[in-house]
Amino acid sequence: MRRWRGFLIALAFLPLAVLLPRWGLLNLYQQQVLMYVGINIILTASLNLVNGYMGEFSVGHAAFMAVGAYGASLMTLWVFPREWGPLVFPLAVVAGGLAASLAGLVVAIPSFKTRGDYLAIVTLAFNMIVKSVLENIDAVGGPRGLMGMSRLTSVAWVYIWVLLTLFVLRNYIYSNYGRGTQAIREDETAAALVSVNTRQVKVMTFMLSSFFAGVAGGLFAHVLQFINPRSFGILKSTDVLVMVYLGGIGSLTGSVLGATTFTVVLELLRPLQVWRWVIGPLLLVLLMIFRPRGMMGLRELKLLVPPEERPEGIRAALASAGADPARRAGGGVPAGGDRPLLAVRGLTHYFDGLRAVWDFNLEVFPGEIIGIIGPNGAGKTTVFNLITGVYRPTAGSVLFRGQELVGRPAHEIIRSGIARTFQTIRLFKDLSVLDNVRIARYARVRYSLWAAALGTAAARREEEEIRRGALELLELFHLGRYADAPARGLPYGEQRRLEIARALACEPVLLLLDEPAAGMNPSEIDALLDHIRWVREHFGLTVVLIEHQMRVVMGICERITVLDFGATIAEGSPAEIQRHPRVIEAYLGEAVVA
Amino acid sequence: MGLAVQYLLNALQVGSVYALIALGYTMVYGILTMINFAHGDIFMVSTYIAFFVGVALLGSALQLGAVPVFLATMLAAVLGTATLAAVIERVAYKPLRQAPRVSAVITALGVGLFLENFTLATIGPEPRFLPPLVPVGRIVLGGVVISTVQAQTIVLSALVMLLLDTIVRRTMTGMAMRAVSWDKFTAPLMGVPVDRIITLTFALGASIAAVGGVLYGMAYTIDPYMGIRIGWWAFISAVVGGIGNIRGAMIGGYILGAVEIFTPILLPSTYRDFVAFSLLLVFLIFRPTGILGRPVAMKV
Repeated sequence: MRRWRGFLIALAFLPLAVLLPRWGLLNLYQQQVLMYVGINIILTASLNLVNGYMGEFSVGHAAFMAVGAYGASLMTLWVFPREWGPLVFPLAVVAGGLAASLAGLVVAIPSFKTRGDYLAIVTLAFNMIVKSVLENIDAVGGPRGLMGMSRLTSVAWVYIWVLLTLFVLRNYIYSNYGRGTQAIREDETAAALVSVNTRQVKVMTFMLSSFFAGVAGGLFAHVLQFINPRSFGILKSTDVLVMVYLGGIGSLTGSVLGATTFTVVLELLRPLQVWRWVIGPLLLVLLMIFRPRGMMGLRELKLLVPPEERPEGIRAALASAGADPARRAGGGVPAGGDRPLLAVRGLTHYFDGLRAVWDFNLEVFPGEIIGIIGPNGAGKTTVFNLITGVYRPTAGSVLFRGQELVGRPAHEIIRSGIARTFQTIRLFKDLSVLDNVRIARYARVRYSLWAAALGTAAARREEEEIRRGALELLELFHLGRYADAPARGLPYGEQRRLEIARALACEPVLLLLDEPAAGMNPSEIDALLDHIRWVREHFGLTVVLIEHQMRVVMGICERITVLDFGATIAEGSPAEIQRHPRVIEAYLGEAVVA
Repeated sequence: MGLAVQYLLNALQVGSVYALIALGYTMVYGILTMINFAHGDIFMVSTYIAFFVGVALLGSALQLGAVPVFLATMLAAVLGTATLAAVIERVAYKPLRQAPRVSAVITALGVGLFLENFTLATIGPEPRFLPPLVPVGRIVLGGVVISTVQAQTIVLSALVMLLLDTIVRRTMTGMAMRAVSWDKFTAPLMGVPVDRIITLTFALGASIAAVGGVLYGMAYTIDPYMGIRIGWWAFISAVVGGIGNIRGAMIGGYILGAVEIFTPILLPSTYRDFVAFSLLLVFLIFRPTGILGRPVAMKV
């Protein structure tokens, strides 16, 4: 029940929203301003989901609002008899929202391939196209627009929709889908490589965001009782952007604050007429220069954070989780079968004619620790990138447990039982240590998007499980005390450990470590080697690791493959490799003939 | 046949203006990978400068001839607009160079809106005509009518583009620009004054847009919001040609000119924006590097 407290308190005010206008304590103008505040909160929070939480850059939000406004208006004007208006109004608003979320799908698809400014242009162009199409459809009034809607929107309805929006968005953000969304903001490639299905996340997030923009449109149309395409141009989209960035990206509290401040200030400036359209943009520019993170930054009012996600909630869970190393033990080193776990054959990759990897072969049997070594630029990381689906190889095959991996998306490859770390640490820096680990459970989540959005009991139970598992893993890696701190604050060595913990949360069979000893001194390296051996036994893993420092691989690997200029120059046991003439040549240069 | 040539000339005229503006988008993108959404509005400001200077010169007691008036107006518009762009760069964009790219784009949108609404608030919304800077004449060539403005626009634009291409490819300044666009961090180590080069790029882009502004204003009406539509069309030209690529911007400009003139033959003219933006979407999705651009590989 504690979880719902904030919303129950808010709901208790609903009668006020009904009664105040009825008793004449709010005049029509005040009611109208209140409704605009509410509508703008919905718009702002929904855009914040895409721009703030997902870090994508959508600047044509008015397009979705337009679709919702026209959709809902057509429902109340044409589909249903007018006298049914008040009854079917919620339905009409939802219908508008659904229409808008379909439009959101149209924008989500290009976001698979483009991002940043290009996506900004796509969304702006989409905004222009929607406006242009509406202007050209005579049935909906062309440039003149639609009119004659009843004033069905009331302060109470707006209030209900604001609560619903905040409720759903909060649930979504604190679900594992929502964490996947934030992982995309932090590092999209790394997100996919800890099993986040980035396309799925983008589709869900864009559709959810545009649904609420559509809802706002439906409400707007039934306040104003008149809409035309010009109401939903770039100017409107810019207003929403101002509100998002005024309040603070990645904060629902910020959206509420930003929307309220902006709406009220613009109303106060009404006597200035044209000049307020000069002040608005000026405010935006100043904001960007002096306060780019808005009023709230990434902070959130306590009321909008579920109790178990607050620092004290996490500490309590940590105390009860405890580290019970035996519980998660994976049963020692897997028995070495005669069939390879991973079989890479003839792997070849070109970057624009530059040969990065050429005819690379590798067989890894269950339980082995294999090393790939070679000088800088030999193509080692590219091999990992090819195995994990970051690049598609020019030629060759990668069989994992007998299944072809080439051509499959990264998140599926991770899901099938491979996990990796990165040469340069790629944590989700602004997210908490706990969230970093939880995101890696993305592929194992069983609850649906609907369950997440509504915060059902099943979803919460599973979230509880995910959290407990993640905290246990953190305790095991001596990172528990940092659980609610942002990852960027950890010392270097802890960041490396967290990256391994995060990889393990994917439940891999095969672990790929990319230069785990980078930046470490000899005594740290010795500790690291012990750690890797322990991880392998504890989780029952097979390990492939990349290094260019000889002493690391010599101490731990059973077999070693040496790469130079993309080609394999030697294979064998550490002792064989150390004596191999071509390896010595690659590392130390050619022998000088006296 | 005569009609087709007529259309083609019209397309060249409009396309020249788009190309001139597109160059500004493309140069700034090339050097900063930033989309300067205020560029269309800077173009709009140039037409107003031309308007006021033109009115003042023609109304003055000096009684200058057509050529001096035209050149003086052009010079005023170019210098005024270049100064405006340089100031905007220094005040609004430079502080954000290290900030996320999103901030710069939003700021640019804000600056654009500011310019539009400021013009609206101070000068008013009504469309205006530039005074006749050069005597209006027409040349008839085998059934095809070429107005002097049209001829002037096409020829002068081509010359300006040629000049810019030469500056970028053949001068030290141009080389510095290319160096900054390749690597903002290494260029200063080679003694390139990065900040000055970036400001110069903004100013140069704005100057070229101002040439387009004067030529445009001599043929059509001007108003505070004109920069939105024309700016967008010019921006689409830059993307179609390959953003960041100077020759691409020229090609893109002529293509969009053709779209503008030839679309109404097939569809109602209200569909022009729809066609242009659809073209933009198609390019962004299927060939984001445009006609002349080269793809960039993602690095992990």
